[in-house]
Amino acid sequence: MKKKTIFGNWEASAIIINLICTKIFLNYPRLAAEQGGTAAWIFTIYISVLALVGFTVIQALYKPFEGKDLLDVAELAAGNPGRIIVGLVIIFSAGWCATAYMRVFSENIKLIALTTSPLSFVELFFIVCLVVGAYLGTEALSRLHAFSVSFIASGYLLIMVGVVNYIDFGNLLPILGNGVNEIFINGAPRVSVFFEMLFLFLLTPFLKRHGNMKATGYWSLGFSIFFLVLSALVYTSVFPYPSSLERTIPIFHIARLIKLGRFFQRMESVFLFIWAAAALLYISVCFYFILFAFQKAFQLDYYKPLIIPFAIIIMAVSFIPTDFTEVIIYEVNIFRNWSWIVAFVMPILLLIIARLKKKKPARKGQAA
Amino acid sequence: MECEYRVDIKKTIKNLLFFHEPRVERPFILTEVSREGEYGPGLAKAREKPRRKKNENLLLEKIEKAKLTGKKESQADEKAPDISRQLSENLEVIEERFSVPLNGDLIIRKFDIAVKDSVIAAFMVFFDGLVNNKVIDDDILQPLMLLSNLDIRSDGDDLLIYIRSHILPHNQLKEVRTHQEVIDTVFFGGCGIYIDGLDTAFAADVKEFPGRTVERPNTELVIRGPQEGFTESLRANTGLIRKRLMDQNLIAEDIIIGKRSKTPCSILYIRDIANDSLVAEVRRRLKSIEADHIMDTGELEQYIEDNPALPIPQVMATERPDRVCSMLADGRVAIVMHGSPFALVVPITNSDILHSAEDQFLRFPYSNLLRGIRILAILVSLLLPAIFLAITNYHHEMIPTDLLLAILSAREKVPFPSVVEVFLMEISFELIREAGIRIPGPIGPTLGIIGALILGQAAVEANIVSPILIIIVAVTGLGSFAIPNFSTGFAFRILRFGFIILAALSGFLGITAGLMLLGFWMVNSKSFGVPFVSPVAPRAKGGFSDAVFKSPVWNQEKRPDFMNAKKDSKQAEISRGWINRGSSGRQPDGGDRNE
Repeated sequence: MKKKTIFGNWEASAIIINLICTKIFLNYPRLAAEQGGTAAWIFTIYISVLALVGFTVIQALYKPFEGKDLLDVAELAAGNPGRIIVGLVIIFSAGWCATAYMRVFSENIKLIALTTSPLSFVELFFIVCLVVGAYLGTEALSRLHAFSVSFIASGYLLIMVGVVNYIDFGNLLPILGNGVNEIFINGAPRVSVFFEMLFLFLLTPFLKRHGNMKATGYWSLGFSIFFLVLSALVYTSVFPYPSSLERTIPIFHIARLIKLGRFFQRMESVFLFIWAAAALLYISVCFYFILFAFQKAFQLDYYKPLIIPFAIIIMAVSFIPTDFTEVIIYEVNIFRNWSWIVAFVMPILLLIIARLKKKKPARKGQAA
Repeated sequence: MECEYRVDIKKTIKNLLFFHEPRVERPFILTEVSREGEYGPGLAKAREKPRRKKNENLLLEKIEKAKLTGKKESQADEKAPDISRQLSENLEVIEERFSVPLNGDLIIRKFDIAVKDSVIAAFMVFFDGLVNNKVIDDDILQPLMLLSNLDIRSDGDDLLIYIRSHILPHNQLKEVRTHQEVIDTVFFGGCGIYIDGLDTAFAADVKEFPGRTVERPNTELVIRGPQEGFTESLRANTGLIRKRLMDQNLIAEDIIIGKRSKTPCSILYIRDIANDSLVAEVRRRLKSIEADHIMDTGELEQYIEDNPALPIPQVMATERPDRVCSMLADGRVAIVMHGSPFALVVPITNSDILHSAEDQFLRFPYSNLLRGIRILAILVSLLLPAIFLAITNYHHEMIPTDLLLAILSAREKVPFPSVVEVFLMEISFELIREAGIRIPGPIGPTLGIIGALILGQAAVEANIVSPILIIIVAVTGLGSFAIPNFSTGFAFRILRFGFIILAALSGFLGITAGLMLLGFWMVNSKSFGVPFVSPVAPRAKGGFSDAVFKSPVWNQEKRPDFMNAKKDSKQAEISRGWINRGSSGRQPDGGDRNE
């Protein structure tokens, strides 16, 4: 007998906030600086507005499908093949997120702290966490997020506050950075930074009511936008534009600047705690969604037998790129340029088709 | 034997490699209560039934039904009247059941009762050492043997009623129809009285157990607050609770645990506050225990807890009646057991193990200071050696240069890697702690001197450990002593070794992964249907007023939401009526805020 899991807005928001904001610790401030130049914060606000518009459209279309996740909607729209195709798309997208982030975080940790440890050893810690998280399921994942995300956010805000004396608003000039064209035209596909909103549409059955989904979406977007804008603003105002393009791990470099008197000069290692926690949670959730989508797409009774094989696949795939730079190139240039189609266009199309299909039999009924 | 062993290994490997359909499990979840004033487990059952779909779990239902009818039949057998009107038959049964004459402390006193010109044979049975001899002599034997000759005015001819109403003046007298009831009473310090010609016996409560009187609690000492602790006597303990909680709805349900030990226990709850399904669940778990002997609540706790593998306790064991009372007032359920000076309270959350009994009696700024220190103590006890290892092995840059040089020069002559050093010191510390508890009292101080010498000066001078590590281990030890809950102290001692290993393997990454895994473990746990990390995860209303930090006592208006108590509020919105001079007091509380 299956137990019906339902969790609150805060738990769901915490998951989505962590999913969207983990990239701050990875490469987001640099991505924003590359795209917007000194106007990285304007660029962030712009893509945030796009994401808000996208979500508003999706949530409005979602109203008749209360309690149904995206795979259910896909089934309504295009039957079993639709569900399987959408399932595979989600599996590949979540799979990419999990593998890429695992590789990048492991490489970064290796670079900072575990210089002599082999990569596979570092990844082992991620694998153990994601396997345990997947075994325990959504309830445990959501509760751990509700508990940890506030600590991660506090740590992040402390770092931001810690470098306040390095902020030079002169670094934000010229105000429009790389130019209107670069920010508003070429920058639009970068709304893919909010790709992880897609996972909210898989959480809908756990949120039960449409109102909860709507509230969760706006709350998580609100917090994420605040954290993303803050990171872009602080990063570009602390580091002058040319040097901001050279930092491999932006927030780590910001944390390195923190000095609290003569004694506390190197606080960046403390940053490793929140950084690793965010990454472990991110990868665990992505991994869970891979299993969830696979189970649902192929209508399996249980997902637990898939955990070990999928964990092995994820670990193996993360070793495929030859080096760290290659993963970053795929992640930034390809995934974060095109994944908006999966996160926003695909749900909108599916919802429209499903709505049309839903209306048709009703009309026929009325005519009869 | 060997063959069995092989089979087991095969089975284990098979279980690991192949998937098995999960067992049908229905974990207990503490659901919201319906209407106030409706009591009893029957209501919870009635609510649960319609949820089951048609044809769902028919087999399970059948098994449950069969079990229930079987139980009812066996219970009916046990409760069927079996006392004979022939006194000699009853005496035979009693002698056989009490293994007379093997039992030296069993007293069977035969005597005659003279009632209205006739002499009736009778006997009484009790254990020497469990009863008050004076009460037996004065209130039972004397009236039956001597005062029964008095000319007492009575209309009825029924001997049973005549004896009960006119001859036996004892205040706690029960009429019983089975030998088993007599036997249970005798074992719990009562005496059984059989009278010829009656198929009913009398069970009188005359207990006077040897044992200590009410003393100060040993493990939960406070400076401010009551100084009484539970004893080993069930009734003294329930009395200590009733003395404080003079609520007419406080129920002390009796239950017998242990097939052979037949240990009497009491389930205590406030009927119009505690959730019915919670009370029913406690009752169900206690009744379901199929063990021969249970001697203490320490054992009982292990039979009823939700997650036996979780190091952190999910049941609160306390020897303070005042603490039990305040937890009962929150809608929790307490279990008191005869022979144990610790009461169990369920459900609890992780924040309860952070609280001490004194918190309630101190003003909120003082309590919050103590709670802050305790949080620090927990972090230190759990993580300090691991963080030291991580910093010295992987994150040297964190240490300011002066301190780094000091540590390096101190470690220069130490031949071991720091992880070995930490383990050596931690194990030595645990040895001293264990030896300190087991050692006979008078030698105790000597142990302290030996410990201090070995762990301190000698180890440093012999270059086995560095002085800084002595400080780390000492602070860790202090941290673990500052944890108010005894079992939680154990939990963090165990977990600390895990974190040391993780830190040795990969520094801060290992510690973070360890914290995440511990977090997963904790958020997945429940204590009697209440998520263990409530009210943080899942978030629950009203739980924060006294969860991690304490708000002023007059501001704690609501019972924690996760308790799903029948009554949400525990005090009026304005509990300090005097702040609204001249008004009836309908404004929100917090005089300072309103001004």
